[in-house]
Amino acid sequence: MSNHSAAARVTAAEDVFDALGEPVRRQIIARLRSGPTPVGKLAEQLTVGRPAVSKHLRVLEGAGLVRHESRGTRNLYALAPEGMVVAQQWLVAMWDTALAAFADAVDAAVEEDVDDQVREQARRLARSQRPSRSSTKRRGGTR
Amino acid sequence: MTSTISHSSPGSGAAVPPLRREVLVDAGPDLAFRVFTDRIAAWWPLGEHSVHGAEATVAFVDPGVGSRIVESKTGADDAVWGTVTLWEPGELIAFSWHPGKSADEASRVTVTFEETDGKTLVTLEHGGWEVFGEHAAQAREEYDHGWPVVLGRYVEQVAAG
Repeated sequence: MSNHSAAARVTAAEDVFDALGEPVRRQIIARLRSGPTPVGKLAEQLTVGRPAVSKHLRVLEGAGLVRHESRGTRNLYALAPEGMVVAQQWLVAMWDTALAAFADAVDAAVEEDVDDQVREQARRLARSQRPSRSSTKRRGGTR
Repeated sequence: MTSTISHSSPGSGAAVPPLRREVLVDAGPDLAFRVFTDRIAAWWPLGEHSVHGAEATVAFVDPGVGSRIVESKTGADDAVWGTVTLWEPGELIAFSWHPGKSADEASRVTVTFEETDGKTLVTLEHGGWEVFGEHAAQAREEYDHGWPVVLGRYVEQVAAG
């Protein structure tokens, strides 16, 4: 898969989250659960006017959450749950990426801790072995 | 069927199951917790998942309950990702979660650290999806009966796929 499509997937997920961040749009989603519905009927059931409903429907459609179909002269809107899948997959991928990086960071921290312990041991050893350290100054003396 | 979702009982009774991910790390729970919190800037994939991008950094400011997770970048406004609600070093941390959004659009994340055979099982639960309907008071019924079902369905789809 190309980088382009990966970027497109991220955009799609953000569009879904943005689309769902608005109460009227969530109400529209809820109404559409009973089946494909014309704009006029949605507008009757909601407290906002028809132009506003059309605008919200465009946003929802842009995010892939609803789709519309023409039946004769009627324009029906219906749920398109694939949009939700995109959002969910994006979240799963985000946490998987984050947790994998977290596990690597724990490994690095463990190594650091071990290094710290080794250094500390070396320091303690050095302190307790002062006399022998001075003896090493007499290089080659024992050979 | 009437189901009322209470946000005071995380997980239980909620129609939308939380998203759950696990990772086993090769360290004790205390260290794992410290890396998760103190060192979040070292591992969080800022390039892919942040408000300001790779040049930003992120930290748990004032560690403990009430700590805010703040993404910052020179020359840009701080972005608050969430606020810590539970902070139990070596055991669990819970925080609200709303990167790029306002606090009233927050979902919930809980991370537990559990020792198993000298390693730590880190379990992350991301839930509280009902928050999406919380402010739609007039749509309460739709929210209870409709919205979680829609969400639940896609969660099931993902689980099945």
